[in-house]
Amino acid sequence: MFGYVQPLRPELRVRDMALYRAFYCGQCKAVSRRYGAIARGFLSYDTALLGLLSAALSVRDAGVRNERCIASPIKKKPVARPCAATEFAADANVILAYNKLRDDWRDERSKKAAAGRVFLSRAYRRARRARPDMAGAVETLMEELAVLERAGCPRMDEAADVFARMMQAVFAELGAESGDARALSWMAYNLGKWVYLTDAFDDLEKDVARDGYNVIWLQYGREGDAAACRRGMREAVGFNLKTSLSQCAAAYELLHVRRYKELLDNIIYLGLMDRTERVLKGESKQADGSI
Amino acid sequence: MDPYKVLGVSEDATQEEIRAAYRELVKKYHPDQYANNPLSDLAQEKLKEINLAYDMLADKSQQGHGPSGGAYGAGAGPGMEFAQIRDMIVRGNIQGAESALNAIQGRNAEWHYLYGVVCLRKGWYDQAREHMQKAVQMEPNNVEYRAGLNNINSMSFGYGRSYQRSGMQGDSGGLCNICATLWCADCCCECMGGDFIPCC
Repeated sequence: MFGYVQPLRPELRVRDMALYRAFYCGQCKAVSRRYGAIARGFLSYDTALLGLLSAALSVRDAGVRNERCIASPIKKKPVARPCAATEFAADANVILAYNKLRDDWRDERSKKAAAGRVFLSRAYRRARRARPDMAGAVETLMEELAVLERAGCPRMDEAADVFARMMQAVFAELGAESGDARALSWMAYNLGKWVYLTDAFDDLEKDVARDGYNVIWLQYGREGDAAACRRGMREAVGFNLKTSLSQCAAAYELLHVRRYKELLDNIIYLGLMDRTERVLKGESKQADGSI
Repeated sequence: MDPYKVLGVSEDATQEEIRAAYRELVKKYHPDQYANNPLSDLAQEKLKEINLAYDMLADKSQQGHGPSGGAYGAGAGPGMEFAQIRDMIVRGNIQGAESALNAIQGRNAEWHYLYGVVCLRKGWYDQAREHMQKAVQMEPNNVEYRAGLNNINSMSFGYGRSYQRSGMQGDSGGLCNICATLWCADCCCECMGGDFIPCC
């Protein structure tokens, strides 16, 4: 969706990097298996966390095995075995990607988004059948967000709230057997809030230039230019991002994580914080590097 | 329950290690860390489990310190309504508290403080801080409001610590840069026929 949720690689142990890669590849293979090869083109880092978290909370561990794939046809690489966790990540990936494309098409009339939607529409119909609750909630809340944005909502809490509730709807189907529903829900809310505000601050210049909706620009009062807004809002945005992350982490600490804790800790405590610092300094600009 | 697993120590851990792990966990799940967090009851459960595990493993001569409750201060304002609203907040009825607050006409410092608490519990941190600031502005000498504002401002402090420890944040580069500089200086010296660091 945005690609903001990633581990901090320099601090990652080699085997945890392999594990992260295995879940990303597992999600990719699950997407391909369930939705066809085209849908693979819309893979996201953010949903890799969903798969990882789901596997970390489940009672049985499906594990990892060495496999070949299109990107690496000769050398076998570790891939998470097909399991409920990778399927969950794949479904969430398709549902979020499709709704994001629909939103981009409506907002920006972007040709890329229009084409993407066409490619993904078959897969989306299938994902919708597999997860009607999640897809329904995401559609409703995306619609609610669009209404709010058209009305020019100038309060970051209010705009981010809708997106955060959408993240809650996605997390709602995660770890059903673990009894962690409340903690997951609060974690999802705060992670969603962080993603929304991170994206808004990261895209500030772009949104101001094309006169699109940006809640931080509106809350600032639209005076001067994007650079002035960035300076003026940096402290407030930083406070909101870091407070959201601290709450996300507090909820994460209450989950019954059975495995993969080092990798999850890296994402929650280092990856997200590193992204925050970079976005606040104005040097992020979305997903970087392939794995 | 396996007390070793709860404390995250191996079965042959020394008393010293057990105590260190226990102290670390108590810090992590302390009610202060979860003040104004809707999951505070879960954190207390967790703390209970940790205390129990520690009791099972620790020498009886060592004393564990139990968790203290993190409830709100008793009603300071004279208004009957505010006392009821505080009660709703303590019981976790945030929606009820919010609509009760919205129905109140006169918005004094206490109103802003309580609205700030409600926002905080909803995850609306920006407005929470704004209302707390307003409450403190209106009554700068009120200890409760000042503590509320401090609490909001310091919520994220503990979180960033492991990132700061990782040494990724600074652009100064720290130790790496110093080494690289020394090595460069050595190379320059060697080019000129001397040697700054004899071993390389």
